[in-house]
Amino acid sequence: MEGNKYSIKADFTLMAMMLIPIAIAINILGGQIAAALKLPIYVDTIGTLLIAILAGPWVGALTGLLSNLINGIFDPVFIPYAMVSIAVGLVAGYLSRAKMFNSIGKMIISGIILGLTAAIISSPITAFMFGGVTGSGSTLITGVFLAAGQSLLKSVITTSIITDLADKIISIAFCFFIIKSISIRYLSKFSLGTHFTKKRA
Amino acid sequence: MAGDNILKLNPLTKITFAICLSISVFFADYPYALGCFIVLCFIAGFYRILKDYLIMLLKTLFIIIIFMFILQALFYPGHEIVWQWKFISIKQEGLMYALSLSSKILVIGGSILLFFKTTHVKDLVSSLEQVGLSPAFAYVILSTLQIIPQMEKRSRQIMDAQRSRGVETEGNLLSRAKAFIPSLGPLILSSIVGTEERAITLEARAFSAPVKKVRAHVVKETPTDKWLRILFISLLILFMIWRVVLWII
Amino acid sequence: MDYLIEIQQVTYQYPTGEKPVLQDVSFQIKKGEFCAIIGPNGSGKTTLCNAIRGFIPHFYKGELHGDVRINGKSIKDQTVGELSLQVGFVFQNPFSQISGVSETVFEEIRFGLENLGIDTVVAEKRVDEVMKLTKITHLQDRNPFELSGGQLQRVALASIIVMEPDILVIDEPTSQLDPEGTEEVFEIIRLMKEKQKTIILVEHKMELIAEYADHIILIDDGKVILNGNNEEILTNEKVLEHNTLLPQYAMLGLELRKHGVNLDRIPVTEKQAKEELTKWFAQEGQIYV
Ligand SMILES: Nc1ncnc2c1ncn2[C@@H]1O[C@H](COP(=O)(O)OP(=O)(O)OP(=O)(O)O)[C@@H](O)[C@H]1O
Ligand SMILES: [Mg+2]
Repeated sequence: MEGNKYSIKADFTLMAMMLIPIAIAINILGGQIAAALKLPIYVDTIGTLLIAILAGPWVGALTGLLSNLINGIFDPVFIPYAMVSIAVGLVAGYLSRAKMFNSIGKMIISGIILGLTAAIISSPITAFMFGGVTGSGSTLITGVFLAAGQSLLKSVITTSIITDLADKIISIAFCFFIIKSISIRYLSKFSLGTHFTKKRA
Repeated sequence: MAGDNILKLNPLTKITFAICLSISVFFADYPYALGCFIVLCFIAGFYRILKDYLIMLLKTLFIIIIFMFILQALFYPGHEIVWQWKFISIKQEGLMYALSLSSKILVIGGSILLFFKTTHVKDLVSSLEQVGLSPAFAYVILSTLQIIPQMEKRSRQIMDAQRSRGVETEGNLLSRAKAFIPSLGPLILSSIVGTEERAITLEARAFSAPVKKVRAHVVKETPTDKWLRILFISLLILFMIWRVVLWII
Repeated sequence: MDYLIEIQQVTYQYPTGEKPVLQDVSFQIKKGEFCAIIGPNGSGKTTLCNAIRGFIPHFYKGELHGDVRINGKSIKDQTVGELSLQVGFVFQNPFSQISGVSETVFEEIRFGLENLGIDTVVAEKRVDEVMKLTKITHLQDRNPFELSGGQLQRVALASIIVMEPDILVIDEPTSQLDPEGTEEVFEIIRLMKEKQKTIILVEHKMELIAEYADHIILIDDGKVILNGNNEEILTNEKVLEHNTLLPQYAMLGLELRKHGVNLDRIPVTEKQAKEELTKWFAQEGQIYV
């Protein structure tokens, strides 16, 4: 019916707009709960991934941007990393348009692509803006690579590839369970939601 | 009192200041940046929030800065060794690099923090809406600010309920990871189900009525605001020209 | 006769539904009329309200066969935004009827007026009046997120009334209220009727419908089963066949008739019941004394 044509405007439905605040809150809460449970990964992009998968790349990008800006009110370190969240939103949205979240195998590939995207964009920020330091325990891993004689950028990239891959694959698995539990009635309200309704009877 | 006047500046004026100051530190060395940071502290003092401000800086930026000093001092490639113990050595170049970087972080992060400590986000959004931000966008930001504490509250209730039901929120990694799903999943699902009715609510309140909205909450814009913004921007441009010229010569 | 609202052979199926939720629904509502829609759970009452407000088909999508006309103009030719100027809509769940951007009840009620572009001074006066009318002035500085269901139901009603639409569509406004709160809400709705508003109300509390409604429509399984004036419908035993109650006075009347008590008419309100019984006692009561 809708064919394969997508437009930015068509993605920004009222429903998508109403979901943005919730997605941002999910990002922030996910991060908080992961921290409270002392999990070794951030899980602070679940909301961005979820909304990008359902409502497309630009809604995802906007959600990512706003999440980091709002976190930045209390901790400005988040603000430069908005670039990463925007990229994650965009890439996840385009992957979803290409139906790359419709099977376990494709989801793992998507997770790897997203993990690499996040690592490639966040590393220069960490290395050149913050001298290799992040606010988390991963700084220690960076230190280990540095001590082993690697360059700063290389150490940071290696560190973030490890953490981001794990983070994105786990986050996508979580999104998968959430999307599976959303009833067709609500899924169909989002521009890409129909990708997930057809297989169900 | 002068302090009262400053408090009433338009958010756009304050943000112009923060942005100009942040850009300027890229055109000078760390003594300038440290000077800027002292100015920020003075402004915070003017608003009578210096203590709060410093505590917030301590909790966010200082930690990163300290780690950065350690990392850079140890691993920055350099020759001038300041201090050595067995195979660990601290190098002058690393310290200087860390100092230069952290003074910039302090000014940029410090201006952002100061801006938000002295400005309600609501005022910022209103002032942006007054210069053309779309109402839908403004709505998204404002409702996000309202929804976050609501969802935090509900998530805390859910986690407490889980603990009392014996779901392990401590213990080994796997059981903690498992606790994550029931902590967040139901909250997400119920929120998504609610979006449809919230969209209808918005329509019922004439959000997309074909008329121009009138906002009751208006942020004042005085001539002082206009002149200050022009001043900040011209000072920045002059400063940049001066530094570039110096650099070329 | 000109009708304000005309529903013409409406058949509608939700895009994700399996069968039509409304089937060949037709009826008309006059200006200033108080029309109650009754029927069992899941019969399509809310769906019908959504069609009158234009959320069907504009928001819910799906194909709408037939037509809904308001003031002679099809809802298909109007946007949801344009319709918001004419039709006010209060729906079932009070907890999701919060704009989400207001810090106080006062701001919440004013939100609609901001969107209508009403001058701030006028708007605040109107908000004050409506809060008095709906008896929520004491809540004006509270955060809407912290109110009870009953309080929210009144805030939701107030937020729509303040916008002064000509037509009010109200879907089960008393589900979260105790009997006293319910009476108060009906009192507000009655005042709206006095102001010549056209009212469409979905409600299960039949005694109150008997008291206030002019026109009643019974729907079941997406079809109009009965359509007539208050007494016609509320004395019709057929209503009971559709899992819908009648007012207790009508039930009493029908029951008495079955036992050979010859009432002139079946009462639907308390007042009528008293009248009828007194009359009957006066005529035949002595026989038994
Ligand atoms: N958005 C939707 N998408 C798909 N089906 C829906 C939707 N909303 C309602 N339905 C279905 O349409 C039918 C009629 O629902 P509707 O809500 O109109 O009934 P109702 O008379 O208002 O019921 P109640 O008394 O419980 O409020 C039900 O079977 C319901 O499951
Ligand atoms: Mg209903």
